[in-house]
Amino acid sequence: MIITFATQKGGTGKTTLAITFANYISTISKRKINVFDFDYQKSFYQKWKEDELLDLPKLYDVEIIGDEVEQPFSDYETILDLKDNDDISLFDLAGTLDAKYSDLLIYSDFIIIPFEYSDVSAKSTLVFVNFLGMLESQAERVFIRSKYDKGYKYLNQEGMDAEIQKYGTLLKSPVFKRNCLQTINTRQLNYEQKYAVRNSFNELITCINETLDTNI
Amino acid sequence: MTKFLIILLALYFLYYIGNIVYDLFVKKESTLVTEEIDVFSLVEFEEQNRDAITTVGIEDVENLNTPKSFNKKEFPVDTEILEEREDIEVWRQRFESEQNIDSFDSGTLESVGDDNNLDEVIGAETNEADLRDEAESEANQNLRKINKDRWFQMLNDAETTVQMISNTNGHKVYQAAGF
Repeated sequence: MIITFATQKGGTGKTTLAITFANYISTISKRKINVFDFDYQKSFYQKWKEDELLDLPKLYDVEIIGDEVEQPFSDYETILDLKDNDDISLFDLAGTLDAKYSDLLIYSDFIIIPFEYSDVSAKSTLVFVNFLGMLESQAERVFIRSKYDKGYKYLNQEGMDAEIQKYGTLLKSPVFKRNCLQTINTRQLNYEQKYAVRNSFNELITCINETLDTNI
Repeated sequence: MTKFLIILLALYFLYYIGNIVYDLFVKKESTLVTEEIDVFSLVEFEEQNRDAITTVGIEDVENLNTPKSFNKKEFPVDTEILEEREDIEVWRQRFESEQNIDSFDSGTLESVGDDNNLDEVIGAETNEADLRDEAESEANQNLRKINKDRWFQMLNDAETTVQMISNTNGHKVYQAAGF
């Protein structure tokens, strides 16, 4: 199964959510988790390497896909293997869409799209949705509200939600803006962090299970 | 003070009177220089050279002594081409060396065919394979470039097809194209 965290906009919390989701799912699922850092900044991988200093066992392996590889999945066998495999392959993409992401965006089982309601983020999300449509991506789009502020009234939320729901599943529970998510590591989720993402990720896992008719 | 002024005036008048006396009696009269006017006549010259003028040949013109400023080149002539054309020896050598190169290639290929030397055959085959690989990689590169161009075109299209449908105090709602 391939789950990809992607959007066209940088800074929406892709990597934070990818790390949190990888940690979260490794605690509740028996499946093997492989993380592929496809971002040229290598934030996920660097964090994972950094956390080797911690006295905690690693939950999963993180691989990087080199910049020199032009089209990493051009043979299709690798990507189809990952897709059919019971293991969970989690990809973290960069905020800039590169041509080498094309195969992954087309053949992923799920594309998790974190978004905010700011003008720029809202527009970028729809640009990304358009783009996935043009690519004829087979992936199920799952939208997750990221860095959501409880005390703020988003005047465009209703309109944007209605628009976004036309193109995929919008998770009801947002991931709120919280301090504890700033200090995330790749080895564990503390209680506070787990609490911060529990509702959203449970909803996401239910969505995955229902769509693929499986149990992860 | 008045004494001083009287003496000054007296001195001035003396100087003035002295000047007048000098101009009237002492100073020599300047001699007027009359310009000498020369009159030249060309009649003799004309009569002497009457025949020569009627017969002006091209050589007379070409050998004319003119000032340096007259030698300005108005139409620059490229003399290099002429020189190269003249130097036929260089061209011959060049042609021969090119012919040598051509004949060298065909010679080795022929010898491969004639001798059936295994090493050389293998060498030729790998050479062919290399060429094929090169052609393939070139085709791949072209394809990659086309794909990249298409990718950016699609990104542009995706961007331009998103439209704003409402704006509540700066909070905008957008609409995707629905591909």
